[in-house]
Amino acid sequence: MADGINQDYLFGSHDYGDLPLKPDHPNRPLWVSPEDGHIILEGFSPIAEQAQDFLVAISEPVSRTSLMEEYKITPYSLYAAVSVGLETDDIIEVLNRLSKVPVPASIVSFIKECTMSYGKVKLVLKHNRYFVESAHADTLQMLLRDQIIKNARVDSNSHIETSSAPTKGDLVIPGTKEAQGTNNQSGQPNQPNQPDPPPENTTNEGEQQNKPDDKKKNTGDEYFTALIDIEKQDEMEDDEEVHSFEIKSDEIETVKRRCNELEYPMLEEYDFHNDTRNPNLDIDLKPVTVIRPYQEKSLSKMFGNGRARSGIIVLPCGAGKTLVGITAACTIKKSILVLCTSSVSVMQWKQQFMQWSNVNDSQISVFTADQKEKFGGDSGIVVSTYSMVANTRNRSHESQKMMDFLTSREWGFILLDEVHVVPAAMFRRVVTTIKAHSKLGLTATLVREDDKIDDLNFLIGPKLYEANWMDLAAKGHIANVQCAEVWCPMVPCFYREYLREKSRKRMLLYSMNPHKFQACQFLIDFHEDRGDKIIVFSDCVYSLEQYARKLKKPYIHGGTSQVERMRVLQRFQFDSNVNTIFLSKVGDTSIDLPEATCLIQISSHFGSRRQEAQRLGRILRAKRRNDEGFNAFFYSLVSTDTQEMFYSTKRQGFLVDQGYAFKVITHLFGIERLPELVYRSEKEQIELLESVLLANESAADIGSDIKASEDDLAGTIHGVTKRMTGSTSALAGGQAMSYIEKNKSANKQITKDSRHSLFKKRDKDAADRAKKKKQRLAGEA
Amino acid sequence: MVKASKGILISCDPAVKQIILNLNDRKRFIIQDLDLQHILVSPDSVQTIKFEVEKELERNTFQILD
Repeated sequence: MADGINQDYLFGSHDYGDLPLKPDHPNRPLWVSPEDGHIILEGFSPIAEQAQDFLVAISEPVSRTSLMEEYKITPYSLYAAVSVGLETDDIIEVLNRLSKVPVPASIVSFIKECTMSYGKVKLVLKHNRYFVESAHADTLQMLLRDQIIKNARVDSNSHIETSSAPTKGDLVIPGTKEAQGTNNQSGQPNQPNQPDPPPENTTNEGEQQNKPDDKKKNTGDEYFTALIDIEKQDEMEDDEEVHSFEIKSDEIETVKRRCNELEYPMLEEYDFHNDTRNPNLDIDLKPVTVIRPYQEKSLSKMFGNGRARSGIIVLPCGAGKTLVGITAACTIKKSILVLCTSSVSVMQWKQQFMQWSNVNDSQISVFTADQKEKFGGDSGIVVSTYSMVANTRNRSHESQKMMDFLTSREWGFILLDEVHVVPAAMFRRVVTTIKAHSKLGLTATLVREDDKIDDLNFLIGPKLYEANWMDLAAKGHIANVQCAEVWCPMVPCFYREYLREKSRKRMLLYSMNPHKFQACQFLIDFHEDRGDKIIVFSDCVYSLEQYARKLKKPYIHGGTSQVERMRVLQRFQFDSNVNTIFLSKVGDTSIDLPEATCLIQISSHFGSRRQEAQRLGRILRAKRRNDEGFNAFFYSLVSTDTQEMFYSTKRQGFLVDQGYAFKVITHLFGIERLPELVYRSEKEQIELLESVLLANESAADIGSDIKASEDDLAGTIHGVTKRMTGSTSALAGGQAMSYIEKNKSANKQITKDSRHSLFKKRDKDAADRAKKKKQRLAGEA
Repeated sequence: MVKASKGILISCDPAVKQIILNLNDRKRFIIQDLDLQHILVSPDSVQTIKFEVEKELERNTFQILD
């Protein structure tokens, strides 16, 4: 557009029209913005894939849609880039090659400034001795001039030792193709010692696009191979020798702190191959376990030079984070501590370890509020929760003993699940009390509504790998999902009350909106006819129950007993008559239902982007995802003209950045013709409104429904105690004395007919026996 | 005797009408509530209504901060 006004409107202060373009700019895929370090990549460029690999290494993805991607260079991302072995000059050189505009001087100096000090110094534990290691001898000299570091040095008179740089060597990550003996097929850019890929470079770009990812990396057009070669050569030249000096093991904390003050933060690497002091753990992946290419890639970033780096791996829900963790554990083969957020996931981790690896039951133990075990032998795995380990209040005698056990020994590897939810202070406590050589954080959504993400970089390490959701979906590792936001206009009488209400009850009003009810019913009906299995999510327990009862579907929330839960879940999985279940917040993370193919969300936790992503994660692992043309569906029902519109847009932020497009449905076609449509008449709507208004305000509390056990992380689960004010007449039932007709809970139906009456006698006998046994045991005690 | 008063007819969607009704609780300006989507108001209040309705609806729109 030529006229100035329009341009100002479009670009504001981001008008970089005067930047000079390189003459061959159409061949180069990206733009670098001079001010804020943002990089825009053309996703349709023939060398986009290689550029992506590079950008993921040096910057953080902001948004990745199908044709345009945005990245941002931050100090942390550069820190990460350096830690995986990229050099300052390589970064600038490659960036300049890929950029349509000359890389602005401001960015060049920014990169130089950040990479100057970061990651130049490593703390390595080798042969049970701690070394400060660096590829640059002058950096070490500089550090040694510092009094504190000088004092910590073991032998202050000797010279700096020089040795050859670590290579990946013969390290094989189990479960990869290499491990299966097809060595020449896999081409990982991080292995300098790998033989050159087979000469397939002659294939043209068109063909290349259609090839599976494994080969794509190998081929690459000449332009890019040249580019990568530079990277590789430099890496090899520079890394050929490293210099190091030894420091006293009890001075490590001091040295680390001092290095941070000097702005030379140390990277921690663990040379687990040469660690002879800590006993090995005999653990391997089962032969049938094969890890996927992206899992392999993420692990190759971690074990790039044959040592274990600490850092964070980001994979979408359902993409097998657990397996990545287990494979890492099987590579290091030392004592392992796994920390997760709740006692439910503790059991899941244990079960996954048993499933994928050949670990013995005696080698793996669990430390929760109810179970405190130690593993047999001198090495093993302990699975626990953050709060059990970070607890500072009084502990029971048993858990204190267990904690002493945990802190008294050295751990080869500490696995941190769902790192995004853990408060920084808790992390610090965990990291300082447990002596671990390497740390791996796993997460699906590295977003927080507060800005605590940055803390993780220094507590755990840099982000090592982040998967591209769209890419995984295209390759069939996770399901294709169609996202839609369904607009449900507020019924006038509900909206009137909504405008009057100032409190949390507003939330009840928009989630109970009759039009939303109808939309929900219509969608359930429509998808059940297609043969989909549907999960309906509602954060608000009151509306969850109302919906489920009215629509005669089973439901699970925090108050549902364990037996009933299992029964409902089993029915959902195996019974073709039960195709829909309603879940409250309890289903967000811990319930795994690969049968589900359709999600409907009726109410949610305000603007939480993480929850949205986690809920989507429930259908990403759908069993049927590899069927021809299969699509999973994700509907978000939103009452228009309410706060929900605001939250909904905010929630979608994360998924939109991952490249998901939300369709907006303003009208469901054919909804009026649905027989038995609920709340069709105004009279029924007003009755519903009355019952909503009568409902206690606490019913609008979300998250009040999950019971927290002692070791669950605060924040992931909310307590059940609540305080409310009311009149005594209300408590006596004097306020709402009216005849109410309720639909029966469909759960009851399931419970009732789950066992044929023929088995009545058998059940009774079994119950009797159990009772007697109990009495006997009580008598003995 | 016939009494005539001048008014302006507002047609809007049902939700906006509810917002206007809510505004009316504070300061009366509605002459006649006609049906779900139509309402007759006094002419001098039109500007205020426009402003307030805009404000109410804007609160529900998420803006990405630049």
